[in-house]
Amino acid sequence: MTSTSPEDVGSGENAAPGSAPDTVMLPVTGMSCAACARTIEFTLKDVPGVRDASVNYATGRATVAFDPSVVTPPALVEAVRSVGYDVLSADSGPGGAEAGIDALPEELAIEDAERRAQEAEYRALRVKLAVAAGLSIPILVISMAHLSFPGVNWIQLGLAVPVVAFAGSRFYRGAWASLRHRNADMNTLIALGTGAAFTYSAAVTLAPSLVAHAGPIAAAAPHAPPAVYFEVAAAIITLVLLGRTLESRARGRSAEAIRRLIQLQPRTARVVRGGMEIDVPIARVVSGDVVIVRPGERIPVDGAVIDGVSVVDESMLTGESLPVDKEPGAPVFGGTINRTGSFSFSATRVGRDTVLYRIVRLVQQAQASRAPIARLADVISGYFTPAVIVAAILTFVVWYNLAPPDSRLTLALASFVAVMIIACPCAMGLATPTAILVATGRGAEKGILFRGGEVLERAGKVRTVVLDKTGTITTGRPEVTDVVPAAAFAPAGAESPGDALLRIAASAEQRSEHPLGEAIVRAASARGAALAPAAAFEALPGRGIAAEVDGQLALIGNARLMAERGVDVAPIAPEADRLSALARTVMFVAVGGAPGAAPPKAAGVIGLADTPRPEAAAAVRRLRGLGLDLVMITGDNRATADSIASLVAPHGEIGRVIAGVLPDRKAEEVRALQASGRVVAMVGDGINDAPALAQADVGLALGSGTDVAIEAADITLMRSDLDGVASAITLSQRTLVIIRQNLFWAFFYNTLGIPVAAGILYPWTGWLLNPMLAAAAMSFSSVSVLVNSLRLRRA
Amino acid sequence: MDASEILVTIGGLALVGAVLIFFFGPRRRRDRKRSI
Repeated sequence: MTSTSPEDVGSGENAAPGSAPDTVMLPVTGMSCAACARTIEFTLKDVPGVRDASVNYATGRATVAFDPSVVTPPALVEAVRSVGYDVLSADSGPGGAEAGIDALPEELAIEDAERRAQEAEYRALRVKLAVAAGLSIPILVISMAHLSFPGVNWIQLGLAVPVVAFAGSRFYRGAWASLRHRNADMNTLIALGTGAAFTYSAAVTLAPSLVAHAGPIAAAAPHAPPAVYFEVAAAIITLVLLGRTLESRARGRSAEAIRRLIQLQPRTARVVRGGMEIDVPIARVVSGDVVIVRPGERIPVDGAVIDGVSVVDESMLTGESLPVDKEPGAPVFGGTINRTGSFSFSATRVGRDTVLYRIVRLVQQAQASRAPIARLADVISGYFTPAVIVAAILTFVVWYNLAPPDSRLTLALASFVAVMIIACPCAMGLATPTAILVATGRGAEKGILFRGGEVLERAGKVRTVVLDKTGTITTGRPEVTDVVPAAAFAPAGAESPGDALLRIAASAEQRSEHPLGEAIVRAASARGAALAPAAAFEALPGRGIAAEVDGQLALIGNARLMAERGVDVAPIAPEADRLSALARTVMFVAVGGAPGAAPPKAAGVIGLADTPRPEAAAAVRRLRGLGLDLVMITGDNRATADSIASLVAPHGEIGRVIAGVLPDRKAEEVRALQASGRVVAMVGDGINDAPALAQADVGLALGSGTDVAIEAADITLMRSDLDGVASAITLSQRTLVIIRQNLFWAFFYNTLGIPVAAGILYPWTGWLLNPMLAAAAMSFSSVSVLVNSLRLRRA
Repeated sequence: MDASEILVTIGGLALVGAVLIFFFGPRRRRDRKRSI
């Protein structure tokens, strides 16, 4: 993926902004539609030396593969700027890179710049909305109340000009961009409708004689000023801006996941240089450096242990809750936490080559590769707009042929404009945002946080749900599952051998901070055991513990500990083997003998395993009941995976179990499912799940999961309840239904108005475009949409 | 039908055809490649 050598990174020099020399990711701004992405893509592909380019409209990222000997990143940036878009760079704003984080400064700075651009966009939208609303209200009052006084149209014109030219400018720019690519979207429809209404109204205000003599509308009331439709243009722009503002506020940020990942990396490392231990910035660590790590510290870069023994918490990378023993030769990874002992290791991968950085890249790539969803309103507009234009032209032709020769041009022109004006559904701008606003509010009440509205649209289309095992289906922490005393183990009192074994083990483990020890203490407390005080507690990294309980030595740990202390485990070996075969973690317990005297005797074994969440089985059933295909994915071996699957899905609810997946391959498995045409949701909790969460069409993170997973996901289940997955998908499906209904209502009344505007009723009523009709269509559709969206409050 | 009516009718229908081709007609080659 990257051809930067460790030495390059170590020297602190970075070739291209944000990437290795042969691929660059450019954050592009100014794109207003998918067609813009296409333009930029073609422009980049035409640059000599560019091997491939893809531009993602949803994430605003251009990924370019190029030959560094032919073309440089600045030339690529120039190419993008040449077609009217801009590229954010690390220095395009104050407070760029965060001080001290040297390995990944460009990514952070770019994300920062993106966030600033997004916030600026939201602020700009708010200003435009305020202007549009403030000026539209008087226009609406004048038109709805049919106020008539000299100069009334001029006042409306004055109020409407800023609404159209300033507040509505983005719709005209967007429409122009779409037209250049021969597409029609929501912007085209809005530009057409408001443009027709405004131009017609402005024309009759400036030159009333145009319609005063022959115009059908003026004919009914010859002395009144000609009817104008400024309120149509103003209201449409205001309502659609309101929708856009609501959406902009809810839009998720992609940067936080990356930021949290980068924060996992320490800023300095303690390395041995010239026989001295010195702290150096992380960017100065080179491959081959000897790095010293003390207990409680984060490991700065990847390497292999040279000297010392310790236990390292790698859960942030692997999702595995059990700490990993480290001895000379064992690999260690940057970002993981050293728990117990000090050790030194030789740095093997630094900077962009570390596992942590690879995860950063995977998350970025997954975010960039995600296809933007086609918004329903845009899709409908794509057909509706050409249809309206065709209807307007045909209206013109028919009127020209049927009307009396002296007024046929005026009538044909007026009807042409009327069709354009009435067709533009102003509730269209509200159809999606209001539904999303109500649904996200309802979701929040249920502890389901949606990151933006697109997520709801996408989640409603999910067909396949991929569930991570460790920490998602299971609790992610070991629990005692089996307590098997040895046949020869006979406790003194009335206690059963099992209870006594657990009580002694728990008493000894009281001071242990190891998850396995904590699980034993929990299990004993749950059985109501009265723990005895333990003396001479000793944690033995990589082996277990030793302590004195009831005046006797107690050893609890793995087979190696038993062998080192001369404990004969033969009597309990069959039980230990049986538990191992069931994918349990086995702890031997040996008790007896005065400390220092003869070795203690094997007292039994305790089996521990990661157990399913209490609600997991019911949640899996409910998901299956929704007709979704379920897949379980895990890095564990097949036996462990199958045993958990059979516990939570006894009737085969989980259709497929993918076991033995390396942490960084989960995203690939998700991509493979997507390649077979499915809309995939991924549920996970660990940092190792983050790339898969970003890759999936919808990523769901449990609230108890790591911050990185939560930031990479689209939906957070605050209650860490697996049942929330089904609730989130159900709510999304309902929202999708409501959005479809809303769009129907938004277009319905306006579509009804088209034949009237075309003049069907003219022979009987003299109506061509009745202002009452335009206003009624506007309010009916808006109210229908709002009321319909509110139904989601009960979802 | 006078000459102007014939002209408007033919012109209108041609315009309708043009609109339909503009939005739904065959795309340029590289446009099509992208839309896959």
